[in-house]
Amino acid sequence: MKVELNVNDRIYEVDAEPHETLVQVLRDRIGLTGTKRGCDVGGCGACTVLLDGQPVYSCMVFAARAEGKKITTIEGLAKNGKLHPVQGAFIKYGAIQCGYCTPGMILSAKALLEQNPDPTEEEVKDAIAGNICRCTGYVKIVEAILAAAQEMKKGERNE
Amino acid sequence: MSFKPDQYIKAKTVEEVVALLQEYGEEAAVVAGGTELHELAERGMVPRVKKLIDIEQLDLSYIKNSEEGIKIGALTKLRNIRDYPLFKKEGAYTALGEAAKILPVQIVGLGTIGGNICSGLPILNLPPVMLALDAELKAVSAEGERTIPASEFFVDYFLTSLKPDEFITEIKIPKLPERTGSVFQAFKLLTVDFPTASIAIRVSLSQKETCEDVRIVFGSVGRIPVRAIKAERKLKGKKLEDKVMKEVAEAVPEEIEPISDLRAPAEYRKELSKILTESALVKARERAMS
Repeated sequence: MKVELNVNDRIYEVDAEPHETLVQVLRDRIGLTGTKRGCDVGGCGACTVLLDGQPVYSCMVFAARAEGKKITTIEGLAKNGKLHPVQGAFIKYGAIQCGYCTPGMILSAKALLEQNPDPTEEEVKDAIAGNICRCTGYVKIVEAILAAAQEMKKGERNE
Repeated sequence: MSFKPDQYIKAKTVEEVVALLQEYGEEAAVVAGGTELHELAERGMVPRVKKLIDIEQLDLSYIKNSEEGIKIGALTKLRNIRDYPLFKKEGAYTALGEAAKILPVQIVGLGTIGGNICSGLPILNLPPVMLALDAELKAVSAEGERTIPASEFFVDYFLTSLKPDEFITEIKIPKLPERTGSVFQAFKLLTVDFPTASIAIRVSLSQKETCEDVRIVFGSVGRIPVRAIKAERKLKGKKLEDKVMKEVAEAVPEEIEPISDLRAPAEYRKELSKILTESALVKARERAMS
């Protein structure tokens, strides 16, 4: 069946099977492999993308369900060759080890900071509780998100 | 993976869903949030499903509070359950908010209250809460509507009393008396995991602060949500003093006979059920008096 998806403000029309999930279509039909496929049962968070700004497990969304919604993947974050502040902070604070959880982690963080620009450490931990990192790097990830929040606030003042 | 449906149908009305279910019966699966279906599919447990009926566009996302009670549309997202002011407030309905709150953000934005209940999984959070609050489920089919008490809904693992041509459109929570408190608590190894054991308690106190009515229901300890009826009987009419609650909690493991599985052996769940009973009762009493 034909499915029309709006990914990072670009429209893709793809052929997909009825059972195919958003993560499968993003990676295998569209070729956007930044979104990672982990457990496939909503247990790891590697496949997190934003659907109309809200983080979801893309392994739990039928591709057809995502039609008509705005999908944001990790590829859609950098603008004009400039990294998103959350991406920049992850690099600066060493919040990346193997990198597999990183795209999902960053999208969960981005959604949090858009809804809550000045989160507490607890709120950051809650927001990424659905993303697991097996390199045990949570401390640096939390530091990076808190730093990104400050960076984004500064950015707003300068604009 | 044996999951190979041949059609994805976006239904627009209840009537359309009912007609599709009548036509396809067990070959059809209703997709609300879709979160459980993916898990079942991944585990090869829904080989017969040929038609996916997406009901997202039905007008079933609402929470209406009136004198008769609370009506919740089956497609209400867990996020909206979590954030509804009455369910956040300490009191009779807090268990609903708590059951949605302990889930990852990625789930509450997809999962619905109807799906959480209809999956028939005792490890999900809402099933024990439904029993604790005496909820009723409105089922619709080509033959009309019927109301199923939550206490009669769960039959076995993955099995509910819903017929293949029926689906749930609304959840009704009765208006609970003054001086009622409810609690949902769960013991989880990870946020993303299902609970090893969970508990939903509702306590209604009399004017003299004795226990007038109580429900103690466990999730994740058996094949369906498990009610501790003997424990409830012991509490009725009594003043909820710490000593009484402790005694009741001590006897709970014998009554509910928890299962062993990959998350924990039965012995571990027995200890957990004791601890959860005591802590949830203390909290429910506090909420009933608040």
